[in-house]
Amino acid sequence: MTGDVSRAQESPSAAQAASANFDAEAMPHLNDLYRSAVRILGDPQRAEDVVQEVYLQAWKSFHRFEAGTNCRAWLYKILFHCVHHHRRKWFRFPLLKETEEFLEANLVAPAPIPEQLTDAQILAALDQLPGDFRAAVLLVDVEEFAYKEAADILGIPIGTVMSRLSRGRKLLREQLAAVAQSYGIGQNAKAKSS
Amino acid sequence: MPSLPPNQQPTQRLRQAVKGTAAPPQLQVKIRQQLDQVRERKAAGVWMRPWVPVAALLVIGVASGVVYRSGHRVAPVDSQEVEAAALLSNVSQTMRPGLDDHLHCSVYGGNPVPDRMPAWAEAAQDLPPQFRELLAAVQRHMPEQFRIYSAHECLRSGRKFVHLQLKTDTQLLSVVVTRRGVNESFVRDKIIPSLAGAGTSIYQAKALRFQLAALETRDYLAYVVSDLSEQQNLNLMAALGPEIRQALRKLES
Repeated sequence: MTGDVSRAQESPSAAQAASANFDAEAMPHLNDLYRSAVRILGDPQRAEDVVQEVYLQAWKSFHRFEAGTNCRAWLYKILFHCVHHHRRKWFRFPLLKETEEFLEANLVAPAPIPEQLTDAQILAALDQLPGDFRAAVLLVDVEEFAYKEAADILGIPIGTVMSRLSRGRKLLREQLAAVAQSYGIGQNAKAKSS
Repeated sequence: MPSLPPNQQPTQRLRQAVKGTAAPPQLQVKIRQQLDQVRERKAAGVWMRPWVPVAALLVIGVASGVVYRSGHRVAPVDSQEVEAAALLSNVSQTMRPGLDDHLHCSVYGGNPVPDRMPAWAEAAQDLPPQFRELLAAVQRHMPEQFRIYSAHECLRSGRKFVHLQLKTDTQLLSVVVTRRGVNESFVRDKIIPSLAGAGTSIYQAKALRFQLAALETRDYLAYVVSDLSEQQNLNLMAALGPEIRQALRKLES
């Protein structure tokens, strides 16, 4: 790899400076990457492995990162690349029920989100979303990336990000409403209002 | 829960729920260890190319034959000064006098190794009498393989040094004493000693292959500078330290 050779030929002080820059630019995003990886993969141990892989890949190609640009978005792009790579390793067949057509056919009318749901219930509902939609919701709604950045990270057109986001949000609402209903949350309010 | 606009409420709750997850503390440690390993492998990678060790040996062999004479390096003065400046920049201000004197007097051959190794008494004939006690301490504690070839007073950049020069077949060692400058103090610089006990604190530093161990008294700085291992150099100063301190205190009183 070109980067490896160029780094091996750096003087010790240049290598130290590169290390310091990498630490300053990349390490502050560790928490963000980890929590996103946990949500995408649904397994903290795999998330740790993938995040380690992300930092390794990022270090190897750090010479390509332009100082002053969005390091967080760059790391997320590597994260999703690593996730896809690991998915191919972990799963021998493609996940079912992930197509937009399937979801289009199975979506119901949006329901209001009850207020008393716990974090664990919300996360469980998020984890139920198909991977592509979950990624869009995570990047835009949770990590607050712009549509354009999310499109770049996922390697898809902006229009697709918007459509996945919209459907992901709808599906999440539906999941949360179902959870709430099963716990009787929100029924009193509904009864009062009627 | 405060009421939020209908579209914002689920997003806020979702963000709050997801951001409650933090990376385990050991993950950052694992990542840093992994990166350190990669960096070390990269640094070692240059030496793993088959032709590099051969070329390096060839260069060292030729260079040794050409530029080393009687254990001293004879290199252009300008390049020595550049190298010395680079080495000195690796150590604290208070460490510099000892390393500077060792480099110029012993390594660069300011006071070269004589053709015939003298006896202790002969080597010390130029040493001012008030430092005889220091010489005796060095004689008592120095490892057997080291032989003294000069104990003298020297001047470097207007500063006086008492310099005991010793060597084995492959290593040079200096015991250097100089008066402490106003701004020179390990204590004042808040440098943490590597060893402290019996009223003697020993400070360490390293500049490439040169190991330094030093102590300070009210008026003096004393150094052991060598290309021994870090631990060997420290041990030597630990053995010498109390007697050097005692000898210097007598001079102060």
